[in-house]
Amino acid sequence: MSEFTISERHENDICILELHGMLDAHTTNSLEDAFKRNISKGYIKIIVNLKYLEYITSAGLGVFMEFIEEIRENKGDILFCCYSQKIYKIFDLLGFPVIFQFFDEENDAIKFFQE
Amino acid sequence: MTNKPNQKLFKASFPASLDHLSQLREFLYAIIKGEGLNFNEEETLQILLAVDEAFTNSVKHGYSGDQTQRIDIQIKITKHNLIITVIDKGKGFTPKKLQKADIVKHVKKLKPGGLGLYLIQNVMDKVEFSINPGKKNAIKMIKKLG
Repeated sequence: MSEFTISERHENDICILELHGMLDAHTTNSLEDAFKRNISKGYIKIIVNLKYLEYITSAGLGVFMEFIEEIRENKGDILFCCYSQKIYKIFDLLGFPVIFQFFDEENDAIKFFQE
Repeated sequence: MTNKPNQKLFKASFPASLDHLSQLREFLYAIIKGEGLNFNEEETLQILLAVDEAFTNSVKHGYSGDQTQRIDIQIKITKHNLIITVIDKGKGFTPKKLQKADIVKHVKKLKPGGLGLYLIQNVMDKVEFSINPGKKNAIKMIKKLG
């Protein structure tokens, strides 16, 4: 079972965080750091690509809750894309689709930010 | 590992540290696969998630990050069930049964506390708590075998 890594890309004013592996209470620090680093650079449009995420716990979900308020206060947002059903189910159990938007494709999320 | 007729029992003990979450999951995954338990990929992920959440609660809240403490794991396989018990001697907690509407309200207010316990109760078939602060706090999680 693989550990957790993040591939980070930027398209104009959009930051794309592609999560890989297992996001648990031990590995959330690197995701928190990625959010802090990008917000401090002014990136408030953040897409979280879940295509390669194999596993997530409540600690991982807590990271998105930690930053969403600050990001939305600055007129930004966190969008999710490219999820597998097994990962989406965990988000859904906790009611995340009520407060976050999910897209099938990364391009759809990018277009949403560009409109 | 000890065996009685129609059941198998595996035991392990881990330091109360989040560094060991990966090792804990590997231990559990090896038993699920090694014993040929008939769970699909999603069910297997949910079992790992439940145990992970219980262990994390023990580390963070039960022992408040004291890594000198230990957390015991018991895995019992019976004819019909996989029963996993996570045991600590920390300060314990008051188990609550939250409904989906409560948890959505909770998440909307961006309060992350309590989400782990809610996940455990929703991905396992049955969850039992036995709380004796400082002595033995046990959370028993049961998944029916397919």
